Amino acid sequence: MTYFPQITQRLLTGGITITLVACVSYWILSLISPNLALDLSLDQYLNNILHGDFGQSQFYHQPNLEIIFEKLPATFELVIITSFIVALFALPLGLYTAIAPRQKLARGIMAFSLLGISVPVFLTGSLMVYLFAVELNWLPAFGRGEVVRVGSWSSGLFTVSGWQHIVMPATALSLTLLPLFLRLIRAELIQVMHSNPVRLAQAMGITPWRIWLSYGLRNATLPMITMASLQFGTLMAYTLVAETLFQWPGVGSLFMQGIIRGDGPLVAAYLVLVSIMFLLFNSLTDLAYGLFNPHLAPWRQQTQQTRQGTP
Amino acid sequence: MNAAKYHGHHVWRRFRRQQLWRQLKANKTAFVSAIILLTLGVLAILTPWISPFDPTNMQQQNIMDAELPPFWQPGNESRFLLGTDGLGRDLLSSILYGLKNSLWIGFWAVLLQFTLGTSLGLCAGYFGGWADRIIMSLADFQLTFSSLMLAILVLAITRAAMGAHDYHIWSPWLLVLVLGLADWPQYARTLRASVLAEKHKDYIAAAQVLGYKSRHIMVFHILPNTLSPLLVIATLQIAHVILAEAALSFLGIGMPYANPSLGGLMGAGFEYMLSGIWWIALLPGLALLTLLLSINLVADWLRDALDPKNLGQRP
Repeated sequence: MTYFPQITQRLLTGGITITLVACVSYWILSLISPNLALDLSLDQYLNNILHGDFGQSQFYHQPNLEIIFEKLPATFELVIITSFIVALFALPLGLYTAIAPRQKLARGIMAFSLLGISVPVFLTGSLMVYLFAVELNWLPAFGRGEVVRVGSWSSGLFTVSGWQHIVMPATALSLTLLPLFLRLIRAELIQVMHSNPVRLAQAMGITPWRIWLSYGLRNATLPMITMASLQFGTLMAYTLVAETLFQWPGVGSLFMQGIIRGDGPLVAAYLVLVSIMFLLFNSLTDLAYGLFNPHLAPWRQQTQQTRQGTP
Repeated sequence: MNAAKYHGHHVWRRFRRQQLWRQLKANKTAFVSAIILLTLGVLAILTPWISPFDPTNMQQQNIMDAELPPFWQPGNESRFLLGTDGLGRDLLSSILYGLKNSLWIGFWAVLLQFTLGTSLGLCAGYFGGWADRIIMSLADFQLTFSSLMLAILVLAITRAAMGAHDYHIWSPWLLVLVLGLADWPQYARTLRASVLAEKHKDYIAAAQVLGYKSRHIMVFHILPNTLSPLLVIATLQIAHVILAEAALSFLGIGMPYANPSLGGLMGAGFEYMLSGIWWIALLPGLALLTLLLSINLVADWLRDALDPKNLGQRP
């Protein structure tokens, strides 16, 4: 029960944040569709949200929550595949460029990453569309392809057409995000490799592989999780751009369409839902901290403090 | 009696002493990219005079000239060196104007970030106490949001609230404001750390004893000695702001279509690309890539040159 105050605190701050966001989104609703806001007072709006009623879209004439949850699987699958590709390449490449920074290949990788930082996702995407969809006609340029319904989740990962459609958006996104993570992992690992414990391990004759993996990589996990949580917004922003480019039927393009159509209720509901997701993600990263470093575990902090208090 | 004169090694003095210049000449990549960047900057400044057409002038565009290819492709017209876009505007002129707009927004937004971040960071570091606590928790709060996502949300909602027409009258200024206000914590955090290291040194004590006001000490004594990392951040941020502006314009919530920007041109050109007309989207993209790459390379060099220990971290 020691971690009870932690959870209460988190719930409290989360609740306050979401209430604030809901107030802001009500204000935005009143800016975009003033006539709707006249019929709905702020406390009614907050009350509705508390009961899971996010209003009706002016364009679709359906509940916002349904529309957003219908589009959510597309975004989620894109993000998952992208993160998978990024993790698959960023970790080994970051490790390699940190261990052997002077090798030709490592320098090449770093130069590529500098290029990657400078290329916006929509340029990579446009190039790929032109090359693979228009000229070579290998891959479809837009959309999500055939989807299979698994319960209420519509998945594109069970059909060939679905995979064909996800290849380009996911690759374009990962080419943009990979250099960012690669450079961060490398910077972090270089610092760790010059730290005292690693030098001691080297002096003790522990094999290089073991030093790299269990001393280097393991100590670099924490900053990487911090990074991931800080880059969550960036990931969302780039996903939004990629969704617009590839006409991917996800939440990001739904939001942009809502903006262009002046669909106030939908935009307001999107804001509230996104902030809830943001808070959930932050809590998850805090839990992950605890997993990788028991000192920082939320359920340990109470004992930590008492231990510090008693000599 | 400017105490800073006798201490530290601030950037302009090093440049005057030609250390930086020599380092720049020694590094070929940085030298070439600095020259490219300089050329692009000069082109951007001279745009109104050197560009063959004025893309903001509706009278110069003719829909009959639309979708003409660049000069190395069959079917080109020599009037339009890089071809035309879907409305018959000369692409070369549009790219030049877009370059100008991108650099303009990058410059003002970064100036705003720099001023805001620097003053807050100086205050936080120098005064300490509650000022420090408030400013730094604000910075931490701001850092949890991605500036690009924040800009997308704010600008998109402003556009929806104002309507497309009214929005595009104000959008250049809104871009500067939003991108300028979003990224100050990086400067503030870096500067605060350097101020904390600097403020207990003897020359500050000397300045305090001489009776200088806090503001004077902060701006003329501490700031010159802590400027180097800030300059690196500012250079990187110019690239970041230009990238963000391009992304916003690509989404249709940045610069108006009538006032071309590189991202906006790409966004408009993308629909033509599916029918094989690639130059409207890809040529502005190439210009954007060159600009961003040269800024990033110069920033990379600047970081190594100003910080021999290479402690600065890329955001």
